[in-house]
Amino acid sequence: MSRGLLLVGHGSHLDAASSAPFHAHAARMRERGEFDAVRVATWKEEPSLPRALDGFRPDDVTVVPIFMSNGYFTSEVVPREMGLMGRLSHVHGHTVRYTAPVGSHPALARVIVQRAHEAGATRNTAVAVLGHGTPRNAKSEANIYEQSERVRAMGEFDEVVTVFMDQEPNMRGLLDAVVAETVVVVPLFVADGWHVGSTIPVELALDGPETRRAGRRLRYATAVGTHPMVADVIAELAEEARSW
Amino acid sequence: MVSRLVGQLRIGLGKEEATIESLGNGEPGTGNGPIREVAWPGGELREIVRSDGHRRYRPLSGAKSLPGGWLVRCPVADVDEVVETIYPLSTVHSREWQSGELRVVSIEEVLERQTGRYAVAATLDEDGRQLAREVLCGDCVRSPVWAGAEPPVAEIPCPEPCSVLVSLCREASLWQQSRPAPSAIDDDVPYAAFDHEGSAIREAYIGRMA
Repeated sequence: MSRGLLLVGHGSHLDAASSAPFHAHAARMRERGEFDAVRVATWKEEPSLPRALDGFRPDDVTVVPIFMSNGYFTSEVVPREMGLMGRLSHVHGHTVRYTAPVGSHPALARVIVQRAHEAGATRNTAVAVLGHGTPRNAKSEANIYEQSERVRAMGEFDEVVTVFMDQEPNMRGLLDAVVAETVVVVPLFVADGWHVGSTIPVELALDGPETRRAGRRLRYATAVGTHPMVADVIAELAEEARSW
Repeated sequence: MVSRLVGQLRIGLGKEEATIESLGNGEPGTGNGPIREVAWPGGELREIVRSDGHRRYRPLSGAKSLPGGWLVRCPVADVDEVVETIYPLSTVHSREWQSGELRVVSIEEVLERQTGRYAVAATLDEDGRQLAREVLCGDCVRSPVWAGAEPPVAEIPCPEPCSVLVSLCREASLWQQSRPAPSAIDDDVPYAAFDHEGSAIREAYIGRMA
């Protein structure tokens, strides 16, 4: 039996950079040498999800979704486009193990904490875990809250709050939601793409990595999903799926 | 050296070394100048072919907008990997097509399974689907065998409508309900922003609507 790893993500027709983290994580996983082959497939780019297994030699393939939320894409689009029937499927001659998204794994909390430290967070700092959120899918917020709770439970910061870009509690009310002088915003996003690079900084009127406002400091971390430690989360998800 | 063409590439095969040369449009300022040699292996090639000669993102790898003015030298054994970097799955699909093993999926199946904002694409009528194929696939080096095309041996077979075509079908289904006025082509509009006035593909489609 040969083992393959397939990282699946959204991709973009408009933003060339949005799939870069997938390829960076794939390169890291190749370096680890735990799989006979590693491939990336996305909904919007090539290879596409429905052709993701074409010519892929390993007969046992673990599919890890690089999404932060366990919502529409992970529960509907990816399984539909790839012909998956659940967490274990047989598709076009392959045994396919479909894991939960990286955003749902407890190990991701360590990456969030790391991102916060990299942006200057200390014990007295408030950390805001910022998710996309959507009023159209109630399940979308669940992972974000769970990861925030894990970060809070790790006890490294006095305040940990959860805010969203596209639902309540909205990121615009962030400074009213915490008491600390310094707030580090950690975007729980896959890539430093359109939202992290443009939408959020504009909405929050950020000046850059650090913004001073009314005697307080707002620090903005880079996206959690681009951190090299995400490869550890991918490896853990794949290892857990091995025994299915 | 034996040479053959694949898409917008000329592949030269020597005894041990191969060259893969772009026949695409030259980048401004370099197209008519010396040919630039791209490092292989590494990530440089992928970065180069992700944009066209005007540095615009190419979401459709087969779009006939491959930047020119470069070539890759590599061991003969790496040729497929180089070509796959430029045209993902092309060597796989070519081999499967030639051996009669290529899994072909129709546009009906692809559009019917769409949900969310793309569900409306399935309402595009037959004439609209054909026009979308002519406009988009006509700008792509892959031959849509899913529509009955018979590619020459050296061409790249396309076994299933891609997400870019689905996206165009979505917009076209809306244009079918209310035909928009044509606009001048605006090169600043991203390739797949079909909902933006001035998109070259959008304007080509609208201009040919009955």
